[in-house]
Amino acid sequence: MWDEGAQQKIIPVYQDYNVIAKGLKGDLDDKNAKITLIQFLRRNLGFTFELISGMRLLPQQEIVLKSLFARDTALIVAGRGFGKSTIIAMFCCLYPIFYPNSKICLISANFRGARRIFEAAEKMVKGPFAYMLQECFPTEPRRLNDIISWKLENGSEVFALPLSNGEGLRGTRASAVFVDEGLLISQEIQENVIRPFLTAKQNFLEEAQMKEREDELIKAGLITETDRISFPRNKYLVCSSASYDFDYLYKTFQSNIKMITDDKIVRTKDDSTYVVIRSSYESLPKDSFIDMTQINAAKADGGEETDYFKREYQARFTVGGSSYFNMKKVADCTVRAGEFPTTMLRGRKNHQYILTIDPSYSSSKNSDFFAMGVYELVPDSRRIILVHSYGRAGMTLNDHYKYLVYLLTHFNIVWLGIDASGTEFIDSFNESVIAADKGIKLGTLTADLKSDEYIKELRILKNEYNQTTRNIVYPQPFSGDTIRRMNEYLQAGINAEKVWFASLLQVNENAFNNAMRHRPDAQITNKHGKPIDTEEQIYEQDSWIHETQKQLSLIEVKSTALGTMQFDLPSHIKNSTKDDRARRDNYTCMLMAYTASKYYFDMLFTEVEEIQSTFEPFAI
Amino acid sequence: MNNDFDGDPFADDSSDVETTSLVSLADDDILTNEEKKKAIESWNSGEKSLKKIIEASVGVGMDGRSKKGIAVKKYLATLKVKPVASQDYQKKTDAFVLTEANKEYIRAHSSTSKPLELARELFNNQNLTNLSTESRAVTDFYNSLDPTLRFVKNNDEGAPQEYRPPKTHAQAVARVNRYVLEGLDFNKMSQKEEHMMTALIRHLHVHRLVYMMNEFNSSRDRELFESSLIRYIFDKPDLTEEELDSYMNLCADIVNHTSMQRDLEVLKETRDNAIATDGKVSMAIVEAINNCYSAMDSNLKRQQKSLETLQGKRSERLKNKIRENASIVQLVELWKNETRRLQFIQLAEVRKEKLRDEVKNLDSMDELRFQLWGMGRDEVIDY
Repeated sequence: MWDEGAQQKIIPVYQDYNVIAKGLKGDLDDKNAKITLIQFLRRNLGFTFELISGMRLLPQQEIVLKSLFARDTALIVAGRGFGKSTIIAMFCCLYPIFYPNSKICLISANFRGARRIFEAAEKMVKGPFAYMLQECFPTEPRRLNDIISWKLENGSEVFALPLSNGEGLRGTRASAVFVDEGLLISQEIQENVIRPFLTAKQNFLEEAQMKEREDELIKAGLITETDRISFPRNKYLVCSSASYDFDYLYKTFQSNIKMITDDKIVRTKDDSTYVVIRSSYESLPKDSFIDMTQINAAKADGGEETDYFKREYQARFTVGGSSYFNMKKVADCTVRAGEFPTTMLRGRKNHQYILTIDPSYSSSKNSDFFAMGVYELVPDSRRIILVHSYGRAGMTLNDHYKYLVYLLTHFNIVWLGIDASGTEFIDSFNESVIAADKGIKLGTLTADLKSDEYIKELRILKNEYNQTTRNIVYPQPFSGDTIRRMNEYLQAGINAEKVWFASLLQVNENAFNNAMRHRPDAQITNKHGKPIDTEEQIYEQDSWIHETQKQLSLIEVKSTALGTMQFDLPSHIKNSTKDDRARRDNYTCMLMAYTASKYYFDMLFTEVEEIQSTFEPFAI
Repeated sequence: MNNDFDGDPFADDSSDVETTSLVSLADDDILTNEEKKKAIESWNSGEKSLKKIIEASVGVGMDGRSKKGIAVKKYLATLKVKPVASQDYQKKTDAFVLTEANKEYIRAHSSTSKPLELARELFNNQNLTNLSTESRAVTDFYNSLDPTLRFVKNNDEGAPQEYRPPKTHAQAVARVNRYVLEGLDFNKMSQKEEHMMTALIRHLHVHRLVYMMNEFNSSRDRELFESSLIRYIFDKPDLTEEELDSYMNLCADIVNHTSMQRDLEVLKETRDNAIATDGKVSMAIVEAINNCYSAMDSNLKRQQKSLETLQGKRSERLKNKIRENASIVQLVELWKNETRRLQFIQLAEVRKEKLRDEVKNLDSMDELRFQLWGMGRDEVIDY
C-alpha cells in the first residue's frame, strides 16, 4: 500500500536528472563537471552508494533511504532482519557527504546500540572496495567514554551519544537526529531531551545571507520567489520494531500518518514534511539478505498468530492486553525516565531488598539463564521494584558465586528466595572458598508457607528468620498448584500496580554520576566471562528491565491433558536452540520475588497471637 | 572441367534426336527411365564412385558385376561419363597445406620438439608417421625455418646452447605450456593473456636473465630455473624491475637447493659406503652432511622469505593502484568525458528501472506487508 497523502501539494516536482545529464554535450570543464557530477550522484543514491562503497542496495532499501533524505520527520517501523540499522549506517555515510556542515546524531536505547550503528557505518567506510568513501572520511573516528564522533573535511560530523536526562546533553545540537529502537525510548526522553537537539539551524548564517541576497534580486526583478535556494531542514528520524498499541511509538505512528493524510491541515512550504513506512519481512524479496530459517522456525506451530511474531517480524502494532500479564499495566508500572528509583549497582541506604534466584547449571550457552533479581521493597504500600537483574547461560558456578557475593555485599538483602529444587546451590555456596573469604553463610528457612496452616507456619518463620545470621533463604516450592497461585498473584500485583520496574539509570544524570562515583567493589564479567566496566554494567542493567518485561509479555497460559495450567513461552520460541533465544528465567525470579514479598510483609506486619494453653484446676 | 550431364534424355519431345538415339542404343537395356534418371542425378550430385551410383539408381546391394550394374555402367558410358570403379587407383590425398596458425605453432615449438612430435601435437593424432602427408608438410616447413630455431637434442650432461628467449606470443605460450599444466590456449587468448605474454617476453629478454641462463653448465639446471621463473611470473605482467630481480634470485635459490640435494645424496652414499666397509664414518663426512643440511635449511627459509616479501609488496602495490583508479578525482575526470558520462548515466538508468519496478511492486502489495505514507511515487524515483 502506498499513500502519497495530502502533503504532496507543498513538495516540489523533481525532474529526472539523468535526462538533464544526458543533455550535457561534449567534454565538460572542471567546474561544470564537478557541479553536474555531484547532482547526478545525489539524485542516484543507490548507484552512488554502490559506486563509492562497493555495496549494493536493495531497491526497497533505496526507497527508504531516499525517503529519509526527502523528509524532515520519518518513522520506519520494520520487522526483524529488515536492515533498519544498516539503513541508518548508510544514511550516516551518505548524508554528511552531500550536505556539508551537517551534524548527525545517533541515539539508541543504550549507548551500546548507538555505538553499534556507528561501528556499522565505520565498517562500510573501511570496506574493501570503499576507496571513494574512505576519501570522504579521511580521519579516524574519535572515541571517548560518552561520545564517538567522526568528522569530515567538509565540516560535517556523525556522532553517537548515550541517552541521558538532558543535563549532560544540554547544548548538543544536530541537523539530523537518528533514533534507533524508538519503542524503547520514552516519550519524555524523545520530546524533552532528543528533539531539542534540532532547535538550531546549522547553516543559519549562510542561509540568512543567501536570503538577503535573494531579496535584493527579487526586488530587482532578476529572480522570482520560486527561484529561492532551499536549505535542508533539520531531521528527526526514528527506526523501530513495532510496539504495543498503548506505547508512545504507536501514538507517534498515528499522529505522523495524520499529518500526512489529513487534507484539512493548511500546509505551507516551511512546514515539516513527514514519511511513515511500515514494512514486514514479507515485503522483502525471498532471495534477499533475510534469513528465512529463523522466521520459518518462529512461524511453526502457530507461531505466526502470536502477538510476538506480529510485532517482531511483521511490524504490526498489537493490542497490549492479549498476553497473560497486562502489558499496558507493565508499561504504566515502569518508573518514568529521570525519576527514582533507577536500576542500581548498589542498594540505597535504609532500603530493603529481596533477592530471588532461578538456578541453571548447564554449561551450554543456549541453556536457560542462571537468573537473579533484586527487588527494592516499599513496605508502606507493599510494593516491589525491580532494580537489578542477572542472567547468564553456560557460565561456571564460580561466576555465579562471585555475583551472589557482590549482590549480598552491595544490597541490603532481607530475603533470598530460590527455586526449592535448586537449593544445593546455596549449600555449595556456603562451602565455597569465595563465601568463606567474605565470611558469608546463608541459612535456610524451614517454614512451609504453602501449607494450609499459613499462620502457624508464619509463626515458625518469625522464630527462625534472622537477618544478622543471614538465615534468610526461603526455598520456594514449585508445583502445579503453587505455580498457578504465584502467577495469579503476580498478575493481580501488576494490575494493582504493586510490581514496578525501575527507570533507566543511564538517563538519570544524578543517579548515573552517583553510580560512577560509587563503583561496585567487585569485578563484574559479561556473558562471555570478560570483565566489564561500570558504564557497561549500567547499560546492561538498563537493558534487563526491557528484557524482563519482554519475558513477561511472552508468557502464555496453556492447559495440559491432565488439566494442570502451564505458564510458559510459546512453543515456537521455546524450541529455538540459538544462544540468544527467548527465555523466561527473569520472569520466574519476579514470580518468586512478589510471592516472597508477601511472605516477608506478612511476617513483618501480621500479628500472630500466641495461644496460651494452661490447665485450670476445678473441684469435682 | 564440368562433368555434369546437363541433357534431358527423358523428355517427351519426340523431336529430340539425342534422346531417341539414346533409347535406341539400349535395345537390350534393362534399365527403366526412372533408374537412368537416378543414375544421372547421382552423378550430377558429385558422386564419383561407380558402386555408389549403381546403388543409388538400381538399389542397395547391387554392384558393377550385376546385370543392372553392368547396364548402368554401359548407360553412363554412352553419356561419356566414367565413374571411378573400385579397381581404379586413387591418390589418397594431395599435398597437405598448412594454415598460418599451423605454421605459427611450428615456429613456436620448433626449438623444443621434432617435426613428427609437432605434427602429432598439432593435429592431435598419435597415429601419424613420418610418411603421413601432415608429417611431411610439417617437416618441409620445419626444414625451411632458421636452423637456430630448430630442435636440438640436448645432452643432459653436456653444455647447453646459448639461451634463446621467446620472441613471439606463440613462442611464449609454448614456453608457458611446457611448464604450467593447462596453461594457455594460443587460439583462444584473451586480451589480458596477450598482455601477459608481451610482458613475459619482455621479462625473459632482460640481460641479467639471459646472462644467468647462459652461465648454467647443466641444461637440467637451466630448465629448472626457467620453469620456476616462468611459473612465477607468467601471470604477473605488472612486475617491477626490482621484483623481477628478486624472482630471479628466488629461482637461483631453487636451483641451488636442488644442487645441494644432489650433493647431499652423494655424501649420504659415501657415508653409507664408509659404514659398510670400515664400520665408521669420518668426521669430515658427518660435518659435510650437517653443513649441507643447514645450508639447505637456510636456503629454504630464504626462499620462503623472498616469496612472502614479493607477494606482500605486489599485493600492496596493486591495492594502491586500484585506490588510485577509484578516486573521486578520477571520477570527475571520467565524468568530463562524454562517452564515459553516458556510460555512468546508463548504469544509473538500469538501477532506476529497478526502482520503478519496486515502486509498482510495493504499491500493489498487501497493506499487512508494506505501507508507506508521505512520498510520491515519481518523487521517490527522481528525488
